[in-house]
Amino acid sequence: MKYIVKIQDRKYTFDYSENDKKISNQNNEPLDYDWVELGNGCFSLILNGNSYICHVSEQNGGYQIMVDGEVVSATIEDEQSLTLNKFVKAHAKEPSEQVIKAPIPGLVTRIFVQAGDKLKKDASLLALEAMKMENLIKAPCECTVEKIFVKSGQTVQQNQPLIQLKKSG
Amino acid sequence: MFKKILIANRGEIALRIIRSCKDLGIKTIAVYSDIDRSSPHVQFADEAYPLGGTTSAETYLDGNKIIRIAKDHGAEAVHPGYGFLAENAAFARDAQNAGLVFIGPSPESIELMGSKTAARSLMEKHGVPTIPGSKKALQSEEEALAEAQRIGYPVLLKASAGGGGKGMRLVENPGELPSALQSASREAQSAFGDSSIYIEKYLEQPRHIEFQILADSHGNVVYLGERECSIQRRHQKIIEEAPSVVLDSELRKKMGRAAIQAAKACNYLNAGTIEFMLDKHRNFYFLEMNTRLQVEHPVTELVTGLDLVQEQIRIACGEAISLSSVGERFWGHAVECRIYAEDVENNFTPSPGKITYLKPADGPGIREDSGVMQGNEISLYYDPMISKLIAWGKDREQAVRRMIRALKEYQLSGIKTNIPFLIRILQHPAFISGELSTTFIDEHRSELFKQPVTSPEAIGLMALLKHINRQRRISYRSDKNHKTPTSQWKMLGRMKHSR
Repeated sequence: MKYIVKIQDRKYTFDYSENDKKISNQNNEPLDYDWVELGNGCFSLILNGNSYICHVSEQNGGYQIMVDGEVVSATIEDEQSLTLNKFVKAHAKEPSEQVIKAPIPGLVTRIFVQAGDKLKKDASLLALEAMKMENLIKAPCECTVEKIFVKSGQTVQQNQPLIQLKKSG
Repeated sequence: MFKKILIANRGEIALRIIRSCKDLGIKTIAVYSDIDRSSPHVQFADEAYPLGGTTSAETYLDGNKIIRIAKDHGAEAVHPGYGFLAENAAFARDAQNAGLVFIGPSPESIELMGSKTAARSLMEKHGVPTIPGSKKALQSEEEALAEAQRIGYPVLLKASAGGGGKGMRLVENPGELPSALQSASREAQSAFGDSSIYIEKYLEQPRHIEFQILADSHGNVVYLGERECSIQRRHQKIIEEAPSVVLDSELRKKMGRAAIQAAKACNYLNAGTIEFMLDKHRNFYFLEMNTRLQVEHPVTELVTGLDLVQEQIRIACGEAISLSSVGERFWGHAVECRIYAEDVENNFTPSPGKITYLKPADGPGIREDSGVMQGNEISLYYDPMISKLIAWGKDREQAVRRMIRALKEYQLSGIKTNIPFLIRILQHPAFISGELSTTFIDEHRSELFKQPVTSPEAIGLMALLKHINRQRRISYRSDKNHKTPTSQWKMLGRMKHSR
């Protein structure tokens, strides 16, 4: 089965054979690999004689790989899911509404906007205080404020909806 | 010498103090909040007592609770570490009144240097150069605008009671000033309970260079050389080193003498740090004095061979320091990196969560002062710094190479850390050639925030193998109807017991 691994904006195709566990890369070169789990999500990979120690964890439906001081996110699709996704994407429209969620848990110290306000990109929406630091939450694009879900002085959890925006134009 | 000391802190610094106490044969008492029950400082102390509660205010900032625990359990002295109550004059006074020795300066010195405006005028009186700016807290927006106009933009707004970059704002033009002033004083109010803000000239491409001093109760004051802490993000230090590449013996002597002058001006006792800014033209200005042990004290320890916590304890016991020759002689070079639980790509926002896997680095020349163990939770209640890695080398190049090696070996999972970012800084040509300034990260932003992927095919394969493995495990489980296989050893054991 073919798998497409996406790292940053590049794609790497691998062909994996279920029967003999052999893997070849996108140039159809067979890969000489040895993969051993050392425990706790920590793995050893020896690839063509090069030795790596890495830590792989699942994250938002993809994987996060930590190796040699680098932290890299990767997503994987096989042939079937790729075809399916293409079909879904072709029929979906980009949503014009966006809910801004709290990137970290914290305290809402100030709200700078009101429902109905028209905003430019990077306009400050609200101030969120966490670990004694004030973080400004900004508008991701030119937009209009539709709804505000929180009040000043309120404590919010991570991913809690804060403000609903409608994209302009 | 003391028999028992209470450590009024948490995290890496509490553990670091406990270790020095053990080396001196002193018993230690740890205090802890509800969520710190599993933290290492609790496990490694001889005794540990709960403070009850979670927030800083109801735990590590509650001086009365801490003093009561110290008295109830026979502690003779309190070590405050850094942060929390370390620069709280009222706590130092209360501890003394309760018959405890506060390991640090007198409440009067803390008060004097704690107010930045009072500290500045004291320094000016004693001939220590300070940065141009107003000496008093601003009363209004109009006053701020007029003062900024007088000293010239860019200007820096700072909290009178502040530290650690909280309540600090850079203002480039008059239009930015009103909103910056408001948000700085709001941040100052919530961090220090005092919203006063003052204004000063912003020095372009300055270096942060600080001098470690020790002062004993016999009137001896010495300096233990400098630390350069120019690499900062959000006005907080992340990489520190000793010695600084820019100081020659002459400038070191000059700044060292100014540091001693500053310490004597406030009748200082115990370990302290005088922070200076050094501009392009090698003019130095007094920034502030930290009346406590610094986060980055280990780099001084590695190049001087001293244990600063032991020195603090000896001084607090009334012993005289005997290090008058120190200050000019360093052994090699030391670098420290602060490992923070934070999301670098997302403007360094804190990244709380559980540490699911932790294997710290070691090897030649590496020291780690860590405050966490595998399984610990990084909460939003306290500072997101989780550990400090310190590397020593015979010269700067060896120390930096060792640090890069150690950071690459460091394995920590479950939360985001700044480790990849630290490596990119250390590998940057400007860092290697020692061209540092407090604006280093902004200046080299485009290169530092780029994420190189060194071996993408190998990384792709790692993700794939984990993916395949996961699918196989799921199918394996469904074959067995979710029944876990029973160990043959267990069955043998059961048979034995049923006999």
